[in-house]
Amino acid sequence: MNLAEGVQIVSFGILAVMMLGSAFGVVLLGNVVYSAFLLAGVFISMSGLYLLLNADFVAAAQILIYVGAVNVLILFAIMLVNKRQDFVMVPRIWIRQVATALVCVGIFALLGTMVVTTPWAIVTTMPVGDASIVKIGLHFFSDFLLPFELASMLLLMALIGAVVLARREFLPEATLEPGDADALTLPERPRELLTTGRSDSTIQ
Amino acid sequence: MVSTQFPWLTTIILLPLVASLFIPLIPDKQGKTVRWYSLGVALTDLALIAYTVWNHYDFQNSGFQLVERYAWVPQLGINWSLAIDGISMPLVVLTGLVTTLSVLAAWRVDQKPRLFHFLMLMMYSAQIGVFCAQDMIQFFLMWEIELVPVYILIAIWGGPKRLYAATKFILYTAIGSIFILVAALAMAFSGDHITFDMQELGLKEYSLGFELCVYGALLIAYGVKLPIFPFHTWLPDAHGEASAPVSMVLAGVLLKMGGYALIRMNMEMLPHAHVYFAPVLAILGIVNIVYGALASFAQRNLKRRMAYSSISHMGFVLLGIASFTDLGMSGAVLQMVSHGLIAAALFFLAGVTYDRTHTLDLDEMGGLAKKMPSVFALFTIGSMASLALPGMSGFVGELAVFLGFTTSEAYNPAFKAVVILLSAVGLIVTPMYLLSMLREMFYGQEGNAVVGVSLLDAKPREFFIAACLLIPIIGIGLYPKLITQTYDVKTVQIAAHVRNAVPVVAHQHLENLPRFSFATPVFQQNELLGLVK
Amino acid sequence: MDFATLAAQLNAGTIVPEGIVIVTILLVIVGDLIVGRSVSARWTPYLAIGGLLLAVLALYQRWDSTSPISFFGEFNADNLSVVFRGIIALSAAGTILMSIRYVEQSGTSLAEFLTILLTAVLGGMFLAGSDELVSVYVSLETLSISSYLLTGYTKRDPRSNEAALKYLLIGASSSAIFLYGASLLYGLSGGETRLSAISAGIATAGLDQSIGLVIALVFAIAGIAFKIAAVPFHQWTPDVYEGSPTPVVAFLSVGSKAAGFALAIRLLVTAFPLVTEQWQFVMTALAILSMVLGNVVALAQTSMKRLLAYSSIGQAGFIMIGLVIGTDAGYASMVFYLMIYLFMNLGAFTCIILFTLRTGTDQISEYSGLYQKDPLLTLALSICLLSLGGIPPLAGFFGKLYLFWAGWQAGAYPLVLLGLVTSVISIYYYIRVVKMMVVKEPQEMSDSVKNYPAIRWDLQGMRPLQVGLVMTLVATTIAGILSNPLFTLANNSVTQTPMLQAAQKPAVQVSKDETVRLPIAL
Repeated sequence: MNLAEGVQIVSFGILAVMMLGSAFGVVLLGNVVYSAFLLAGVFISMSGLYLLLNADFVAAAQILIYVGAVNVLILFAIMLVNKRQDFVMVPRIWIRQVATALVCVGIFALLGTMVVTTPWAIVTTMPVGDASIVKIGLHFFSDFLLPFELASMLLLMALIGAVVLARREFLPEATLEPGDADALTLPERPRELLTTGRSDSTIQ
Repeated sequence: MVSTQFPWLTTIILLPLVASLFIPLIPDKQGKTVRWYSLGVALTDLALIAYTVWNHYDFQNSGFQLVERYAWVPQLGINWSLAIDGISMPLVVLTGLVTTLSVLAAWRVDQKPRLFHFLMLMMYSAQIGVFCAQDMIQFFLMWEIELVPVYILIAIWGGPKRLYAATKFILYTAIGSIFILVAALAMAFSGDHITFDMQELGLKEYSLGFELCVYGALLIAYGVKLPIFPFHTWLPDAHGEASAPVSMVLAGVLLKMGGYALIRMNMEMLPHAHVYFAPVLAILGIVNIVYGALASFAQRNLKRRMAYSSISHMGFVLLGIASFTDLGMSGAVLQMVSHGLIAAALFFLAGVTYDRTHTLDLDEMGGLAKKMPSVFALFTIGSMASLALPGMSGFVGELAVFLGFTTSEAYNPAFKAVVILLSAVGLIVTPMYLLSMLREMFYGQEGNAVVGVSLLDAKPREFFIAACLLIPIIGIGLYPKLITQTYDVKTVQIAAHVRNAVPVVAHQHLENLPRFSFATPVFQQNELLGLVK
Repeated sequence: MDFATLAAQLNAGTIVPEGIVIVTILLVIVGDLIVGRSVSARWTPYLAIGGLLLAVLALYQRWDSTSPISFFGEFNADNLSVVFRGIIALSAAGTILMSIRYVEQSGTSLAEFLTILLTAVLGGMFLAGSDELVSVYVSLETLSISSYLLTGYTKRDPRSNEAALKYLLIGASSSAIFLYGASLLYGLSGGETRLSAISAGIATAGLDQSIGLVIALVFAIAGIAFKIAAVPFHQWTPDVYEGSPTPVVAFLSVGSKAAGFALAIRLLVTAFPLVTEQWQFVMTALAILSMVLGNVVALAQTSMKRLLAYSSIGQAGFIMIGLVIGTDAGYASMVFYLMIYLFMNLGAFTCIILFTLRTGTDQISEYSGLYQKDPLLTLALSICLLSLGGIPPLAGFFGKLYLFWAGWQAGAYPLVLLGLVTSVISIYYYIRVVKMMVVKEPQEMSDSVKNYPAIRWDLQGMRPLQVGLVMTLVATTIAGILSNPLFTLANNSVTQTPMLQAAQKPAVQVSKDETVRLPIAL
């Protein structure tokens, strides 16, 4: 074992411990804000793992997207909602917790066994290292062109969907034609308009 | 095998169906035009049937006639294949007659008349389709098409418990019909080639165990329809709750579908299994006859009494099927036709009475004879026919079955004696309950429903319908050859077909076969071999 | 390199139908932006329908194409995919017909609805032809995310929100599981993502008996079963169906399900030929559970949409019979049933929407006595429900007949028997609705039906609804009796698809010689 390998193993251990610790924190802590911050810890240690695997672009993307965007968004959502809700303790909650733990341990054991027992085909070629961006770009525009282009449609649609969900609606009553307002009311019409607090009397 | 002549049977089947599609378009507010239209279609179809049978059907030919065959779904081997022979021809004519008369009987239906006549015409098509179909899937299709109209006809125009009766009917029949489809698939895929054609299926060689299983499955399916004893419980409800025109069709035609299918499939296609099952059929026939008669005795509802009487009479069809003789087979078919006419007449007359008294409870009636003499007369004739008075068709049918069964060489004398004795019990009870029914309805003190009500006697329309049914009954009774000669060649052939199967079965090693304990005790190897000689 | 040679190199002609859909999406968005919401609502739906029909036409021209592989193996436009893409596009066209009035009345905007729906169609169509794990996943997500958005489209309705959230959470976890399975496949095959190369890669690595492959299979099936709503991955279905806007439910139950089945066939047949017995076993279990649970639980439903939700679970079970038997006739019967299902289920949903539009409820008990007030609606709904129940001579009967025929031919007797029994159970709950509408006396009419508004077809958006109603009604009625063209189409789509034909031969070989697990072709 040379020095580089030793460093690798040690940093892997540190990253793994960091990741597991923060992941457990995300799940087990009661305060949502702590969980959200710890989630960032998970993402950061994951990007460290990518670095160890010579995937520097993916590591950077991981931090930029997950820590910089997704996690910040989650934090924003938590802060903006700012709703303190006391959880009612469910009786015999420990049964569920034990059952969940058993299932999780079982799946972990199964997957762990699978990972250990399977003789994986290890790629022997040298990792491309710094050239990975070029390589990824080449793939995007040759054999992965179709999903790459399709993703643009996906993003466009997600954009539109986000706008639809977020924008303030006009009240629909004005657009209804006279005469059919009563009978033609849909169940999808809200029982009470949340924004105005006005109750819609036509719904049973 | 594609026929070159005009497709008569297809026309007969499709005419009511296509005509029914135009009913929603008829401009009509009170339901007056619809009934004329519907009657016109029914009459046209009846005329077509009569014309076709008279001109294009050879009564001396035992094979299939008027054969038509068109590829329908060739990928699955399904054909639109029609033909009639001696078994189906009388029943097709019966269907045409009874259904047409029931349309006429439904003259007073003023609730949703469009829907009623639409469903009646659909049912008309499906029934004839069942009797003509030569392809198992097509048969199953027709069999199922008839389900929904009957369900709705009972559920809308029925008596107070109509929903219960209709649901019971559809569940029984739908579950029963699963067995038809399973049997069809099983037979089609056994052997070297896939076919749903009934004749080809009849020619295939099946192992005995397979044949027994398929026979059992089909017996359950048709036993529900016929009905055979443990599967009969839907019938009193359905017949009791349905309105008169619907009961006419139910009793007059639908029950015959079960008997017809038993002969067409169980006997013709599976003769070897029939040899094993025949004693079972005979026993079930006896149970039907005795149980139906006794249960009928206990009914206080006019229609339920007749419904149980139907069960009793269908027992004779089973006996005839089980007899292995020409005469028995002929009697079974004759009994089906005759019961179709008699039951239709009786249910129609029950409807006529109900229209006036508004009750079916025998306790509420009484003394009707004075107020409605001609209904009384017609009712009496119908009852006499039903209790097998000599000179009426019921007598001829039952006598033929009895004689056929007695002369059968397939059973040992002790078994035959028991069967005859027990069915004689049924025969004795039948006049008792029918005559007591007449007495309670027409004689004695005036019942609650009759007192102080002015009751009109039969109108010309009603008289005409009853006469149309009663005249053939008496005609057949006086001169049975009138009808038997039209199909005898076929029944003789079928009886010979199943008799031929007896020695084949007898020569096989019975000990090694899956033994059906209920089949063996009365039907041992020595009897079978005795028949070979 | 100019565009033409590039397109020729990619064989981009295979995705012209999808291209048409994309152009339609862009036209709808831009048109809506330019002319404004109230004006655009008058023509965007027809533009979208036109685009979809044009896409179907383009698909028809690509039938039997000589070089179906395109985009360096990303996409396989074989006949099977053509049929599935056609089904998905047509289901969306039917959905649009019924959604115009509905969206109008729920006070939301139509153009965005169409955009999202068309994107879902796009995802489904790509999914039906994807031949590579990355494009499978991206198109699956396109379909899924659009579906989540559609589910929550009437955002001021709490039930719609709840449905969307449930669908999103369960869908996201099932996607994650599917992705995990896909990554296992990538690892096991030594870095292959093309479906056809995966099984070869696994075989050369000698991993065909490894536990990893089985786990990958189970995870992949979890993802697929979620899309086709097979028990036990069905829990989202009733709530989502009940809460979502009804046209969306129609699309989910037909288009999205068809896409799921397309994925199931392609993935299981091409990527998992080494564990054919195992996947057939798992899918058999799912089929049995779906048929039993879907049809039995449907008996107890009081809401029409929930009834159809459970019925669709049961129907998925029937369709899976065709999948598990793995013969030509089996796959063809699946395709045939899906085509029939398209008509009858869309018809049923069109009727429900019409009823909801007129009365504002979808409780089954509120349908009582509808025959007196609206015979056309009663007729159409009765026909569609009876067809779903498999009553002859309607189309559904022939669909089920073909499935059972194929099942019996392949010797799957218990499955066929179970299918028969459960379809009788299904007749019971379908006919309960028919009974409610047809049989009830005038005095037993429900309040909704008593206050039934006068039937007007001239309101905006009602004409397309009427057209959709009549077309599905006619198709459901006669598609069974005159089913020959559809049968031929379904059969050809299977027999002319190289993937399925190649899969059959090794299967035969394996069954002949049990010791030689690997076909020589690999």
